[in-house]
Amino acid sequence: MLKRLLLKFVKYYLPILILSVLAVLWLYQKEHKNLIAIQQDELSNKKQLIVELLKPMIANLYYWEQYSFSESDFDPENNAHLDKKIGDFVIGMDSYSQFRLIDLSGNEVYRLNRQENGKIVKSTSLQDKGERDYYKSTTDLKKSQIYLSPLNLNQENGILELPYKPMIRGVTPIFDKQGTKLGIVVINFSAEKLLDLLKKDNHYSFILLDRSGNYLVSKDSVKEFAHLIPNSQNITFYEEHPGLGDSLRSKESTSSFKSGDLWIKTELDFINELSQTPLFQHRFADIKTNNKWVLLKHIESQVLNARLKSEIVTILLINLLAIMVILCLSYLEARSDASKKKYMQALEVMNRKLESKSTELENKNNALAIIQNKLELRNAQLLDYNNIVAHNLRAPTTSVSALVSMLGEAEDYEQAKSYFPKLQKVTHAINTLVDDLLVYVRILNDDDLVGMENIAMEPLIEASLDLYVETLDKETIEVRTDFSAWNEIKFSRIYLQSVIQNLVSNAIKYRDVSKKPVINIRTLWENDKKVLIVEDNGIGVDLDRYGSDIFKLYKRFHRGLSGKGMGLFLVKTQLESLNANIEVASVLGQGTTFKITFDNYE
Amino acid sequence: MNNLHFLLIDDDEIFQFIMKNTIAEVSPNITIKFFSDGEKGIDFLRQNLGEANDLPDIILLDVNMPFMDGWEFLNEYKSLQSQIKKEMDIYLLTSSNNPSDIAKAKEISALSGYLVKPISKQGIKNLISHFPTNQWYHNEF
Repeated sequence: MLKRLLLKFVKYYLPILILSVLAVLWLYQKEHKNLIAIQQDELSNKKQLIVELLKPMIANLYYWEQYSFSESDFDPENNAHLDKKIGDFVIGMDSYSQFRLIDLSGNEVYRLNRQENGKIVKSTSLQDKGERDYYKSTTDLKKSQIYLSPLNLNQENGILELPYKPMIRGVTPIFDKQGTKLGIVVINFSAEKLLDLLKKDNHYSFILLDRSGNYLVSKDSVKEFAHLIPNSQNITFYEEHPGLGDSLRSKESTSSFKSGDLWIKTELDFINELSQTPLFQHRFADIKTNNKWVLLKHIESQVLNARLKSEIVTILLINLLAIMVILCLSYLEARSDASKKKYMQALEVMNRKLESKSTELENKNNALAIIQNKLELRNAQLLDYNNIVAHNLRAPTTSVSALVSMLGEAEDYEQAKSYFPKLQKVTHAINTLVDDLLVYVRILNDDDLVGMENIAMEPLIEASLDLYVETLDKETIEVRTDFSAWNEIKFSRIYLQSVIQNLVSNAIKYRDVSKKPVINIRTLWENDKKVLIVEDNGIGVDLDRYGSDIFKLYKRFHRGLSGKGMGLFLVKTQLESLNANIEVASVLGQGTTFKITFDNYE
Repeated sequence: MNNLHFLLIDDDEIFQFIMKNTIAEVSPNITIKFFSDGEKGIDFLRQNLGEANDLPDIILLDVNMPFMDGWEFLNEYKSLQSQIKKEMDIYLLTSSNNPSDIAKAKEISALSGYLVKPISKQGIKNLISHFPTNQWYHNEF
């Protein structure tokens, strides 16, 4: 029962389980695809934002590159006339924290600072920037070349300014009308606002890396600019996530799963992105920068799973419900199966009982049919007996009474004496009749007691013929026998002997003296029944006339031949009492055939 | 009336003897002839078709006889009837009052009646007193 229950449960639950798993997988995939698409969009927006914020600086640098500076403008003593012009410019551009002119030897010759409160101040302490990267990288800038520095932190007098001020420096060379290089313009683009914007509105942690994998933006602020800050633990992103580098670097925009976390990346190559601006497109200017940033979104596995949590819980609940329902159904079905099996078994038992009952009934029917046949036969025999008593017995008895009354009325002894022979004759007839009746009644009564045995036909016939051996020899009556069909039968020896004797006796008695008499005795099969034929070529009997009477008691059909009309009556009675029957066929002058059919005889 | 001719067709010799005696007692003028079976009886009739004097007035016919029984005799008689120039009453004789025999007898038009053995003197007298009859007759039994 439990095994069947389990089997049924598995059968029904397995498809649901598979569907659930597929649904979860599909949900995951769809969710991730959506997530990646959305995050890519976000990254792409951020990228656009960076580019849009940088574009004005490019334009401004180009403006100052085109501005006609004179040699005296690079002399700190003589360039105060620039204050108004440059001051107005810097005031309008609130993301510029410094505007500087640096001469060819690396010394600042003009400097405007934006203070914390937004006020623009002309600095009097000019510094030597000859050793700084941005100066060194821009010494060989040619005309109309614009340089953007990496995003780093502001230094004053070679020391990091506190609080840290992330910035990009835009640099362009200045030439006089004769084409002599005068120095460079340096604009400090404060990236604070840009970084704030990038950090804003992030559902998932946003990371910005420079081309070497240094953190520019991280959720962990300690990591930001760690490569610039002395005594800080400087570790790049690629060192921190060794497995991720290759898969992320493969494409400009891509995503990657690592230990259940989802990473979405897009690159910002400054040269590529900025070259789309008209200034560079039409070759008014040329950009020079080493900046290549990586924008990353990091979604941790817990967060990722949390997003799907409700869906998965729903699916789990559905599964739980399904398990319960299926368990119930399986139980019911298993139980109904069991009861069905029981029912079928009961039905089969019933069926078998009915079948045996039916065979029993059939047997009883057959037995009844046999009994009915016997009863009918017995009835007919009793009717015969009745007729015999009524006709054959009543006649002589009435004769006796008539004779007796005649005796009483006799006038003398002589007359009376003449009646005695008549009386004697009648009483003799009565005796004979009663004897014959006794034989008949014994057959009727004995039918169940008569001994049945296997009888070989040949010796039986021989014995019967022996009784008539004298007649047969004297009259040269030929007897032919043929027992090739069957030679043995289970029957009453006495009856069969009597039957054959009577038939042979009849055949001899009613032989045709005008021809050589032949008696033919043979066996054969007919409809699976044993048949015995006794045939003669004697005078025959007119069956049209006597047919119904031939087997009746005291019927005689041949004048001049002795016979009391008992033989065939006995034959028929004996045969019928043992379920055999006899038929006769005859043609006058040709002969008579008796056919005995043994019903159900071995 | 008393010089009637009887014909008894019956194989029972004793019954023939009894009838001879009984009839003799009823009237010495009544004659009776015997045949022991139907065949002999019908042969006699066939031979005397035209001779009314030799033909009987009353035939007593037994049912059970060898060679030709009463019923067969009646069958044969039917074919002779038109040629017989004499009014004859035929009575069927039987030792039983078997209803099926009586019913069968009533179907036969040639029969005048039905007699159950034994037949007493009075029975013969009654029979004679009804002769010739055109109604069904049977004795008391």
